[in-house]
Amino acid sequence: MLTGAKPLFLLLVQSRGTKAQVGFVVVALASAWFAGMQLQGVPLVESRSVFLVSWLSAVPGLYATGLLAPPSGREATLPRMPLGMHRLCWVLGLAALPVLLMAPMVLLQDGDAWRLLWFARNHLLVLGIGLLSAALLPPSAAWAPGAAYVLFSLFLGTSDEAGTAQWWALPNHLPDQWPAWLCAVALVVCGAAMSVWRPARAS
Amino acid sequence: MNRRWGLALGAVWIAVWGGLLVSRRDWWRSFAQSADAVATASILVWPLAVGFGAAQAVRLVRAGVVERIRAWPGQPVVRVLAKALAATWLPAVGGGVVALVLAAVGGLVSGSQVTAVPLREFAIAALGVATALLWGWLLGALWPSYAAAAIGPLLVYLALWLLPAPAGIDPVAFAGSTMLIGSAVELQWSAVALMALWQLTAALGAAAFVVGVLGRRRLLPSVGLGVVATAASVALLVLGPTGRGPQGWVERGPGAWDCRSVGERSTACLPRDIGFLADEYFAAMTRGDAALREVIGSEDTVRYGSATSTLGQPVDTVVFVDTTVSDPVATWAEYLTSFTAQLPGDGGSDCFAATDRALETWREILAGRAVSAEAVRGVSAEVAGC
Repeated sequence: MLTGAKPLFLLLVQSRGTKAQVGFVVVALASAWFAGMQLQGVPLVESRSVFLVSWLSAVPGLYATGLLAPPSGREATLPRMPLGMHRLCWVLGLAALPVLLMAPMVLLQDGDAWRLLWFARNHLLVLGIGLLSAALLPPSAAWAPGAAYVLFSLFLGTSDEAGTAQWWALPNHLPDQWPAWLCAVALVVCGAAMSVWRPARAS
Repeated sequence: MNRRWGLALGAVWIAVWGGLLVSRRDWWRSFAQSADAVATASILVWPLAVGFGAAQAVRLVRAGVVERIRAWPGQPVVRVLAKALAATWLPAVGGGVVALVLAAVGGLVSGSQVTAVPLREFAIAALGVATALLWGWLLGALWPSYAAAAIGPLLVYLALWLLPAPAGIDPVAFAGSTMLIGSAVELQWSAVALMALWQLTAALGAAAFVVGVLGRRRLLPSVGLGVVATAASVALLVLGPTGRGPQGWVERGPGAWDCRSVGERSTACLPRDIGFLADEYFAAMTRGDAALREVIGSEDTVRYGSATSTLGQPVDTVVFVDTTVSDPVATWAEYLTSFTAQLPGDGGSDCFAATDRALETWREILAGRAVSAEAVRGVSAEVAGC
């Protein structure tokens, strides 16, 4: 490392926009604070509801999708390692931070581990979709699959007033449903691996 | 790229419409319902259009195109905006048109009355896509990060979802006939005009702001026009059919109803839109009328159905009978039970049990099983006054 030069990891973090990442922390805090277990009626369709936590938990992951693309193509010209590992660490930070922020809030509020699990699972799920689409799609389109999936799940993904989830609407599944966890973990692991080997395209 | 986004938005439109129909069994057989679902899909199509608009603007800013636009003589930002808007909007609306055509085919196949009435709702939904794209452009121009595109759709959906309760403003009030399956309704032209004007002023306001922000030339006139147009749009939103104004839904005239004789002095009316239920409905009402005459006598003229107007033929008694698609006979039995419960009587000692017995009796009558006149009179006397 050159004397006085910033560490590579810091340069990587700065390249994704300091203000935008502060925004991520604020969004994660707000989502975690308000993500409760209340049921809300779905608009324009009769007799269907959705849990508040199922959509608020998707907010940090959606926001993070918008941060993944590097601002220029310079990153692609650098050697894959150690930059890939730094990128992996940063992505793991995006995955862990909202959950770590929520844990003390849950303890302060009601100690309900159920909604912490729900929040963590959905955050991983949406972030995983974002990581994969950022690697496979142009940055201007990478946000779309996650946003569309979350909106579809909110509007069409329940079948009754108790918020019973449709099989395909994983954000609405209760946190004790292992297929949703499996998908969330698989997506985030694949997405994180992609961030090492095939990072998001430059915007 | 813009056309591809438009195609994606069109595909989303078809998918949301399909999802709505899948979640409502047999509603594809009613053209009014399936066509209304095309308009109802706006609640997801508009938010995603905001995201696509924002992504277009962010891409332009990040690619440095905006600097080149500003250095160019004239107002190239207007041309860039118009071109991108047309390339995205037309394929997106194409998706809605495909859904509407599929709805018409489903209606024709199942004997529903296919009319041009739902085009009024669709026109507002389609205008709304252009407006949403332009407000997305403004969002992306002011906050040139793809996080804006990612988070914008959810925020807009939340606004459309949560705004009606506290503010009394329902931006998707034009999509609503699905709540009225047993009735034949249409959106009044005055409401359509007001909502179209609301969309156009909102689109103009957003476009003026975008030109001001991206073009940075003649900023003041652009922003001024944006403020005026947006203020007009908000006023129309609050005071028009989406807010405090009359909702604009009116019952359609006799042409939309299939009215048939179901007894000597009785008629029953069903919206032609749900013509696939006609045989079952008129047979059930014929049996129901014969039984009800044991209770109310044979003097009065009676009309069964959910029409609230006279339909050109005033009658002595209207028996309100609404319809559902999932279990029509049970629903008709509930309305006939409700009618007998409103007749003069002392209500008996146990209204719940009496209502259950009456409901069961009416179900049997409407389904064609033999029920004696004494039994009908008996359960009706028990439930009267409840």
